[in-house]
Amino acid sequence: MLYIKNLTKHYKGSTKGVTDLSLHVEAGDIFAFIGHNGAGKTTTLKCVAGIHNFDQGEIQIHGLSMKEESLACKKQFAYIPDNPDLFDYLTGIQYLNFIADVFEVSGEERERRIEKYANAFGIMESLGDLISSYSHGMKQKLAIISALLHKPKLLILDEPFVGLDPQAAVVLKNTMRELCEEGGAIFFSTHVLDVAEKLCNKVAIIKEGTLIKSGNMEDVVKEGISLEDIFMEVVCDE
Amino acid sequence: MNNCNFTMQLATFIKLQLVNLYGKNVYRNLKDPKEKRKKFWLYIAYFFIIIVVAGYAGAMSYGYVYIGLAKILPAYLIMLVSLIILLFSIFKAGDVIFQKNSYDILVSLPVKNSTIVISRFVRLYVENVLLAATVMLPAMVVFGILERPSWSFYVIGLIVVSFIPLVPITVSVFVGALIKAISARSRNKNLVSILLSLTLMMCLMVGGMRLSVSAENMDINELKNLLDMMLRAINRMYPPAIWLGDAMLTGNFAVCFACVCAGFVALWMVIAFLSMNYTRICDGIFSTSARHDYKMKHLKSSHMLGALYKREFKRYFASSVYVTNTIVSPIMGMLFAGAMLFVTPEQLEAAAADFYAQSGMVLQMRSMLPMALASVFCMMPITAVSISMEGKQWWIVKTLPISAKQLLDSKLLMNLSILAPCCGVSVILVAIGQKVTPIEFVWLLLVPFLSIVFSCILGQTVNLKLPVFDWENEVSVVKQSASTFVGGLLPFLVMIVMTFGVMLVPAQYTNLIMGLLCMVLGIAALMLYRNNSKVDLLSI
Repeated sequence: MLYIKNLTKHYKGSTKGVTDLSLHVEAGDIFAFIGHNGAGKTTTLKCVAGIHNFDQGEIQIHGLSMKEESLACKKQFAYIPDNPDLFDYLTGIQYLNFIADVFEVSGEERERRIEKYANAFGIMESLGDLISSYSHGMKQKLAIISALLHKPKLLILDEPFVGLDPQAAVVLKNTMRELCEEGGAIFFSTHVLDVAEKLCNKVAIIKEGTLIKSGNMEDVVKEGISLEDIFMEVVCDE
Repeated sequence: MNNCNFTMQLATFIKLQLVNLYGKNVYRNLKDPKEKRKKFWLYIAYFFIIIVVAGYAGAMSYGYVYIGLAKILPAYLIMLVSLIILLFSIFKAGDVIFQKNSYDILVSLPVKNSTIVISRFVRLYVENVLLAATVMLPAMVVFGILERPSWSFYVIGLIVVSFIPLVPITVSVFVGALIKAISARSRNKNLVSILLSLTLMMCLMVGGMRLSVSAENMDINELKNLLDMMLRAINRMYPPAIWLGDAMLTGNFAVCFACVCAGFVALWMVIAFLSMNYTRICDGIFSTSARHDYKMKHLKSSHMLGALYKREFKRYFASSVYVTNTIVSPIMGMLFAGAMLFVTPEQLEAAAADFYAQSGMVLQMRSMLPMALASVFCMMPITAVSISMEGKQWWIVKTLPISAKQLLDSKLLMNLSILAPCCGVSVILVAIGQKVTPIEFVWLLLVPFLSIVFSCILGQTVNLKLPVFDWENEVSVVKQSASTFVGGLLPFLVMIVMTFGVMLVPAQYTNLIMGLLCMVLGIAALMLYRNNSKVDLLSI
């Protein structure tokens, strides 16, 4: 589903970035991407989402190259940043309708999905209000709903649980599982390691722009040792 | 809180406001050499403009002294600079004083509202005192060399330079605050703010026109005494300019200090009023009403371009500063066209004959009409900042399956939807007023329409080269960004050059030159359009 090979991205005049990163997210995977602040998680996600150009390497989504067929690629996935700045001048429903128009979701289908997810996340009554009146959590919920509207094959999420209330976090986790059961895949960064451990079947740890551990969750997390312990061990040891 | 604390806090807040003046802090800390180089050349361009303006002010000073109007020069320059500052500040002062950015953090700190207000006022002041110095200082030096005034001229002159921005900024802040306070009471804040700002703009334009008309209507004998006429005109518009100008020439420190004190009293009153009502006004502006009563309705779907186009319109009318700064050209165009209803074709011919008598140059006034309309409509296209206005939401556009062509087309269509109807009305008004022939009507229609298409596409080209997404507030992108400056002026300058070319071509070649002009505009627009459409959004 998502194939990253030798990804290298450096910011000019800065030592930050990502070096020679390779990983593979398959259909049905919930893939956690963890690392400390400034490790290169967001840079990697932004390269995958088409926000950043990258210096070297290859990114393929559903067999399509991000560099050569970026528009076709973008139809396959949805991205939610860690701090979703949405179009403040639109109401929630106008924003969702705009996203549905862009992805050419049919009228009936968009109404059905908006109703389903807006009720699940508890923001149906607020959809008629301007996004500028929304709290951080409500914006996050709206961004999640907009990402689910076109049934993406791949969901790329940067810190998706930040700002969500406990009920919405449960809804999101269930939705993630549902999407994967239907053949989709999720690639997300998080600092909440116990959620990652319980939710994900794959994990990758990044430090200073380099991937230092990657694989199936059950292979990485051994008996009696939590993901948190593993993370502390590999990050501090290097 | 004692005065010492207040002064220290104020100094800290002022430092905070000035730390990134003209983007200098960002420039100093930029790591990307490409970005740094880009900014460096931008500063060079600004420096070049300062040199040009200073040179122009010096030359104007020389000219005034040369033709015997030295006595009026200081007053004239003070009035001119004050008016420029007023026009530049009046539509942005409210947004600067009531800036949303970091408002929550600032008001939660243990500081007085007046500290926030004064620090933001100082920022406006420093920006404008540089403008005043750029015009006044070279003019004073030239005046000093030619007229050899006493030392008091320079001392009072320096006081005057630092005083000039005070009054126009105080007026701008007061008017801006008033507009914000009134619009804050309404549910549709932006709409009310836009309507009030547009009303103010119309008043300023019509007022300016009325002043120039009344000057034209003066008795012909009065023109012989140009000095008296100008003094009276300045006195009518802005009396402090006369008082301060006189003080500079006569070394009257008392008048100078009286004016400065009066200015400070007015400023103190405005700051006191704002400080008392600051939180209330900010609450009104920044709080958004939410009904929480939405029920799922039937949703109307649109095709991609339609969806993007609708979004562009909503973005445009969501910002009063965006609207007021880009709507000037269509309003001016329509005012110009309206004025043409009252000027007969014979009067135009008489003006051309007058010009010929004075300069020996033959002007084709009728072929100038489409060019004049085109020049006015080409100023400040919305597209010159429409990409920058995406701001922090640029990630949405980049991650959605939207091609550069679709995005740019929607922005272009929105700009044309604002300009084309105004241009159409203006063409009809000019055609009626000037009783144009069918072939003249064709040019009157084609030249302005092709010009606005060209200017919108050129504005887009400039904004693609000079985008800014990480801006503090809308004022900084709409009024102060490099793209506004280049993209707003470049199409206008191109049209002005073309206008002069067309005006000087003999009448028998008018149709040929107009045809050629349309062809050049069409081809240039097409080439730029094709080039823009190929841009890689990932690289922006």
